[in-house]
Amino acid sequence: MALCHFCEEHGPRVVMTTQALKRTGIQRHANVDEDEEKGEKKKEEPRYKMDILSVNEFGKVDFDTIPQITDEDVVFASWDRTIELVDDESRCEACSSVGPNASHIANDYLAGRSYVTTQTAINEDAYAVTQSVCFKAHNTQNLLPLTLTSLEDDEPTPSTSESSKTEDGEGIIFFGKAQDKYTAVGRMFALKDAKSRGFKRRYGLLCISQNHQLLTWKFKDIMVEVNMTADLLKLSAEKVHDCEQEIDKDQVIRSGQVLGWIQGHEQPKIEYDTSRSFTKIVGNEEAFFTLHRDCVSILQILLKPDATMKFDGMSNLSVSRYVERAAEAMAIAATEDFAVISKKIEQPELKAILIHLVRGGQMICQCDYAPVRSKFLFAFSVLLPNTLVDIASDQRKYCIEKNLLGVDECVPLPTPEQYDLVIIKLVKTYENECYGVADFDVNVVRLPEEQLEPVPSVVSKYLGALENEIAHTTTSILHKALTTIKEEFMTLVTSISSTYPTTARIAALLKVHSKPVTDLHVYQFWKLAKLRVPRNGKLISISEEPSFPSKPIQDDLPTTRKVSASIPIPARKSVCEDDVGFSTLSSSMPSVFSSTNSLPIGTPSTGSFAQTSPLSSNPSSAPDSSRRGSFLNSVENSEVLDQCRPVSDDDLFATSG
Amino acid sequence: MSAMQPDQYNSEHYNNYEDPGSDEEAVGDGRPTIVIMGQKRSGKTSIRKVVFQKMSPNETVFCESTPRVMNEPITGSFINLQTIEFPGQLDAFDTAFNPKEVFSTCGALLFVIDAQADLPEALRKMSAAMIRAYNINKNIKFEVFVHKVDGLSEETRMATYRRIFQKVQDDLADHTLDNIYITYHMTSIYDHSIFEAFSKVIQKLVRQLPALIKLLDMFNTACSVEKSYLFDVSSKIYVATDSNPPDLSTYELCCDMIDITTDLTGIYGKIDTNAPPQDGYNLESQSVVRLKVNQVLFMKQVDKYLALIGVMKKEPFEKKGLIDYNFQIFKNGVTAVFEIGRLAITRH
Repeated sequence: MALCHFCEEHGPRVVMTTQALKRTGIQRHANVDEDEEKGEKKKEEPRYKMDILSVNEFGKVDFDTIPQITDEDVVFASWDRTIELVDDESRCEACSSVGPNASHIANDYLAGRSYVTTQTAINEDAYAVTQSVCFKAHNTQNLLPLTLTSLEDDEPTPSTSESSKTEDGEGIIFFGKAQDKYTAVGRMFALKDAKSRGFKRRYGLLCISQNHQLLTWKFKDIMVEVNMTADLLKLSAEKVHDCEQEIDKDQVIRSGQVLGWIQGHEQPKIEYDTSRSFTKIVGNEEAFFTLHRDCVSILQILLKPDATMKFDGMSNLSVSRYVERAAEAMAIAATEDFAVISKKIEQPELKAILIHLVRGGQMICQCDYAPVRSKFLFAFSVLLPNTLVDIASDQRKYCIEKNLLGVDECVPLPTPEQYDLVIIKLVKTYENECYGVADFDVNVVRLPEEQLEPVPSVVSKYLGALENEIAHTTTSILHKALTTIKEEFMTLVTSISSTYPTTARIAALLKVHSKPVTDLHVYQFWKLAKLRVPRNGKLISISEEPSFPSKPIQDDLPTTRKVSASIPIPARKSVCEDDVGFSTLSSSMPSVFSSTNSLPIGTPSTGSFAQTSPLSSNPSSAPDSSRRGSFLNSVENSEVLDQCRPVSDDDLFATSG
Repeated sequence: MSAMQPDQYNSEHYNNYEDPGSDEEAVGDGRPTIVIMGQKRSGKTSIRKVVFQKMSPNETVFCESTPRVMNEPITGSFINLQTIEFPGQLDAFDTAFNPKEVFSTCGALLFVIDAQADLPEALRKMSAAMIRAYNINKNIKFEVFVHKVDGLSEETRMATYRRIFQKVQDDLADHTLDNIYITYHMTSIYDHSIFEAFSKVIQKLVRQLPALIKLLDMFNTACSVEKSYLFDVSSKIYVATDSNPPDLSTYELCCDMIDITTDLTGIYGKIDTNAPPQDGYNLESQSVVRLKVNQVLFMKQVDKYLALIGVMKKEPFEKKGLIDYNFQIFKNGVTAVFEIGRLAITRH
């Protein structure tokens, strides 16, 4: 990725470059000999060492396989930071970014890749290519329209549509030749600047690759991200421009709309500053760091292997292996979040929440930031079998079908008399906009009225794992512990359900296994996991639906929760009208539940680097494709149904939650 | 005053004034190219916009920096050429721009120097550009616009001109290329000097110029016209003028007349619904402006792009019938001149 611009002094210049490097091993100096390796000879300090401005890491603990030489020496893929970068071009402040001797680093241990952002490319070939691409990009006369990436199948092609004209030098470029050995796609745009000629500066955000097929295949995905970044930059620059026009009247001059009255040779005086830096134009001192994150995200999207694609040199096995590793990484990240969340909730409340969840109850997360809700809900999903998890983190209204539901704060929720819910509200306590980091408090708003005693065994074990000091040494150990607990109980459920016993017999079997009687509730819910048909895109005919025992519920069954899932909920218009731009805002406002090491997170993109899901920004889209389709369907077939009372329409949402 | 005889426009007369070997020139698509070069912020884009896109000079202050090579054909005008403007930050002779192809078809290299800025760097770059362009195409006509002179006094202008002239001559002599003929123009977009300078540049690219000059001279003689111009009304550039020395004040008068006529024609002119209007003009358009100094300015449309504007005394102008007749002959002659040129291109 390269950010280039047309400098009024120096012409086309590459301002910033982000490169992806494979993590193949430790780069050694050419003059390292055996004595140095043995430590017998004192290693000479390199005369030059590039400054590291920031380091983001993902998956280091679990996926880092390259050993470090020393604790001080940070290994950055195969790049030797003692090699001095040579830049032949003269630069002013407008042409500079992180400086000639500095860089931002992001290490993706899962993908085995590092992303390095420097002012110029770190190797000669890339340097020459980026220069050439920058030159050509600014000299391109015919740009593709910005609507190119949003065309539907039935829309006319850009060459025939009326909207094919680009706006004043802004548009999409796509060029490359076989003999050039590279292909480039990108977005050319202009940022408002009151102190430049024409009150605008030309920039371009380019994606360059040697793999033409790769760029062609992922063109739309890349351009969506690039366009979003460019649009955000334009918005920022416009804000700064408007602010300057408002405040600094002596230094800047308004645009030419009022020049009609100027006659003769009266020339308006404009104070130019051709060397104004990019950070000043967009009004953000950390703009290059933010752009570094954006570029890393885009490169991740570009380099993410897709199971449906076939690239030369990449077998299906390595693709599926990558997908598995990615799923595991997502689950570990969710476990880490769960560990942090559990510390923020009081023990009795946590116990009640876990009991409610494992019984199939619904938990609602109220927060105005969708990514935060998503992270929170995904953290609790590790406690349930995959097929029983039905997450919806971005709902505009209440939905009973989902057992992990995320809504905005303004969405009305059912009253306690109607539904037994757990409602948790996330309140922001800290925010750092530059690094895109925020901290949230967890407030338990509502808990189920009924508390089961004794505590179901699976919940006891979950709580025990959380309290276990050994499990907290690394997240992967805790994750393993929780997974083991889940699988053990699932095994028990499977063995019991295979005999299709009566409820009384189930209770007896549980007693045999030294399980409390309350495990029956958990069993009733978890047995549905085995009955879910994996989603394969095929509709299930009625005759294929599994049959359930028709015996009525025994009287000795404890009173169950009051969930009237069988009654259709009339659709209500959400009172929360303000949903404009929220996805952009929320996706650019990530949060971290971890109280340590707040990791800066990437962009409004679907492949954000430091989020838990490098493959997808929606952690709810779990890689396991055999998720159950509807929470409603599962409850429908439960014996619990008979215990529910009918609810009239008037009772629904009578009061806000 | 006498009536012009049609015999005076026979092909022999025309051939006497034809450029030698003009039919043998490689014309390509027949569209000459003007390459505009200069330092950054010297005024290249402003010149192009003011002359060919009718931008107000005050608005050029807000033109943004040119980020790429601008290759724009001039349409809707008699001046059927294209301009290639190289940004000052780029090297026009970079291999990426394919300089051989650009300069081999280049009719004129126009170098813009900002008279109010630092000269040595600009002059060094100009000399180098001229030498390289000449090595590619020896038929290129070199024009230097000493621009932004409106803010300089007359003495400073002359001093700047002498300095530029001397420096360039010295540089060319160092490369034994002092035979290159360079034309210098003092220009500013805030007066008509830029239009006059461009007129002279364009005239050098019009192969039929000698014939047109002869026609104008004969018309002047026949109608007692003091000065006449053949204008392209769209750009206010005159394609040809008679042999009398040009006068800037007369030229400015003619430009003003075109502006007035254009504005009035736009309001009251006949609109042909079948064809798009050419600034409101049609082949019947004509106008007369009577000046206080006992002179008359008259304008008559020759074709859809060209108009004849003449300055004469009031008394001879009373013989309108004779003037109209002579004008008709003149018009036929101009048509024939360009028709022969078109046929020559077709034969090529």
